[in-house]
Amino acid sequence: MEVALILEGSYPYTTGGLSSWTQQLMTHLPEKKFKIISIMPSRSTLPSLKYRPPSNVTELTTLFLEDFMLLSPTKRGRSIRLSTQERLAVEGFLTFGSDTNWELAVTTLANIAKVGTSVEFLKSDFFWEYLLRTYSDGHATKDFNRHFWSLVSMYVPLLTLIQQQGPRADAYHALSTGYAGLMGLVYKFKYSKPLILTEHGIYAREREEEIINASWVAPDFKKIWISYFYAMSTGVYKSADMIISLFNRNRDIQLELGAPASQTRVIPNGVDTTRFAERSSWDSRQNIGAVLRVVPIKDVKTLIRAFKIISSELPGTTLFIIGSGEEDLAYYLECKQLVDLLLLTDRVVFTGHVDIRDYLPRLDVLLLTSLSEAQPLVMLEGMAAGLPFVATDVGSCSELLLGRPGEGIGPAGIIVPQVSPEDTAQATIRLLTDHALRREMGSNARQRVEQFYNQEQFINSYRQAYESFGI
Amino acid sequence: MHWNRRRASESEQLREYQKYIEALQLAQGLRPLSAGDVQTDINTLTGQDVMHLTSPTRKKDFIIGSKEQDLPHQVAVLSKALRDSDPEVRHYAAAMMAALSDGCEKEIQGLKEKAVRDPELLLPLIDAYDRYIHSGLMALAVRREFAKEYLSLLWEGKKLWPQNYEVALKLLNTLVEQAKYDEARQILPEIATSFPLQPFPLLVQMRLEFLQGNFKQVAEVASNIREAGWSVPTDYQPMVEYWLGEGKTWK
Repeated sequence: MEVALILEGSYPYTTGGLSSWTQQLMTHLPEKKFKIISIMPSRSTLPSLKYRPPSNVTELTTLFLEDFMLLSPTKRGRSIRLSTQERLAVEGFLTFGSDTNWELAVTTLANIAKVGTSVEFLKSDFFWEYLLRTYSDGHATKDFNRHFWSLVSMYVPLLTLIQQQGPRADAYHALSTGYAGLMGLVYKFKYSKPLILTEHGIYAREREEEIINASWVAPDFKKIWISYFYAMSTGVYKSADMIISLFNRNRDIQLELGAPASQTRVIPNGVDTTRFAERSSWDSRQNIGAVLRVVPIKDVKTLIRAFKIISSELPGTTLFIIGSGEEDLAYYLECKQLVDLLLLTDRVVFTGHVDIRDYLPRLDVLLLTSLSEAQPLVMLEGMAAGLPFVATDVGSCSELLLGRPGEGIGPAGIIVPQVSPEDTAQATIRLLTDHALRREMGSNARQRVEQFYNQEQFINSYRQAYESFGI
Repeated sequence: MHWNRRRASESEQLREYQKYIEALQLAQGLRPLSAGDVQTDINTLTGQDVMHLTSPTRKKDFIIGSKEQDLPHQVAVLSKALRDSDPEVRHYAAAMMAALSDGCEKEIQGLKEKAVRDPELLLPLIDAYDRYIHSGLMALAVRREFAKEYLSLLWEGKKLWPQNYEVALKLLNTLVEQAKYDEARQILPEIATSFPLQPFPLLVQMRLEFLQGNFKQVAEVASNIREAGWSVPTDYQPMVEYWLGEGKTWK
């Protein structure tokens, strides 16, 4: 029995929380067989493998969003014949309709014999008429050329993906909605197999934010792009057989976006606490750490600005920024420039990609200044090492550090507002100067992870989830 | 109807608030509210109304739309949104704040790199620093470092363009803001001579004298301004009037 894990822009090509999670899941379910379907932007920009898949992975398939470039339209103005039901389903899909028949829509569009390749379909009379209709229905004040290219650039990778062959498996497990979820949906209908969805963050919300700030989308078309991502998510929510989130707040958002309550469940992440030695002694060093990828969503600049304030008050402190800077080199350089500008060059260490277990024993406090998170594994790992945190109130950080009602374990750190160097600095200074508080919070951290976020519970929950589908 | 009544009463409150702030600032010898500040306050209150009274969706839309507004106003509203009870609202506000800081820093960095080859770009670089430093985006310790760089740029600008009034005035203001009073005093006569028709250097001098506790001199400078017959900008008139009248009694 095999499970196909479907991922977008991550494992095994990039490092990060989701990739580590995937590796952890497969490694600790050795009795299950896995296939990996990894969706990446293009063949030409494919990075090297960052993980060696464990031995129970039997196949790695990489699908590319830009593979439409390899297609040539053999037929222009192709005439597409669809039944009324098929036409309604496809139009519902193209217009992000809330009552779209997803099964009929994706199976029709995946059928090249019926609709042609993605490029042929987009050059067909059917699509042209749809374009003219949507233009005159609501966008006639805009430039038609841009309308045309916006819609074409939106649908071409999507349709190309839908039409690609994927491996057969006994169940499909998408690790986000979006393109990964949509492919899960395609395989579910194509092979009549169950679809499980685990969402770490909320994909549609993350894309929405990107689109709002994106300069590549003309302002007039931002709404369409946002609707597109929401529609994809809704389709997956409505069709998945099991929808898993990491914490309750995200489950609530999934419900708001159309997930049926009966299909949802929460399975928190877990870490192997035996890999992280609990802190036995605290000395007078004042080392601060942040384990992260140096990318804008982690708001490393607020971290650096906060450290400027900390180091002004506690001149003996050092900040270790632990993690890779390769993913966004421009941002990495900006962070280094900020360090130089704030005269912190000798006090901030960028370690690059390292084993965090080599660094955790040297640290006294961990910081997390992210703008967005789900349930960060690095936080669970830091807590397992008995380190207190100062973290922004994002994702489930507050639940991890402060606990849930009635839990009986004290706080494991201090929650601060986002983009607030001042609050972050003051909370850190408080922890660095109050040894008893630091020790107590560190001990609470370890205790909470051992009790509620341990690897055994996490793995067992997924084992049971798979077994409920006979896998 | 309710809305109109609410707006009317809000305007009255604002007028009262403005009077109160003016009185307070005059008593402290600080720069009185300018018309621009009042407008910012009005806008901010409107933004803050949104943050207080509306649904998370409307708050989110407002935050996204706030891209169109001026920077300090936008920062004031976003700071409020950062403390909202809804995590989505906080998230959008945080992302927007981070993007604003990023935008300012990228602009500065870009101009800095180009200004090495093209000194003309020093002026837009000075403006970019000025906007960022006064945006409300920076924590004090961070601002101090940017302010140091800004000041050195202003000195360089003054050297390159001694007849540039804006650079001279920014330099004078910055020296006072950074409590470098002796240096401010050194350049004051030169600036006053170079720009004899401009009242601003003397208005800055009033602030300088006040901050150093020379209240008699504050009144004297006010009287010099009056005798010179300059037309003092509306925003500053109450301050000059105050020091020509009641302020004379300060010791």
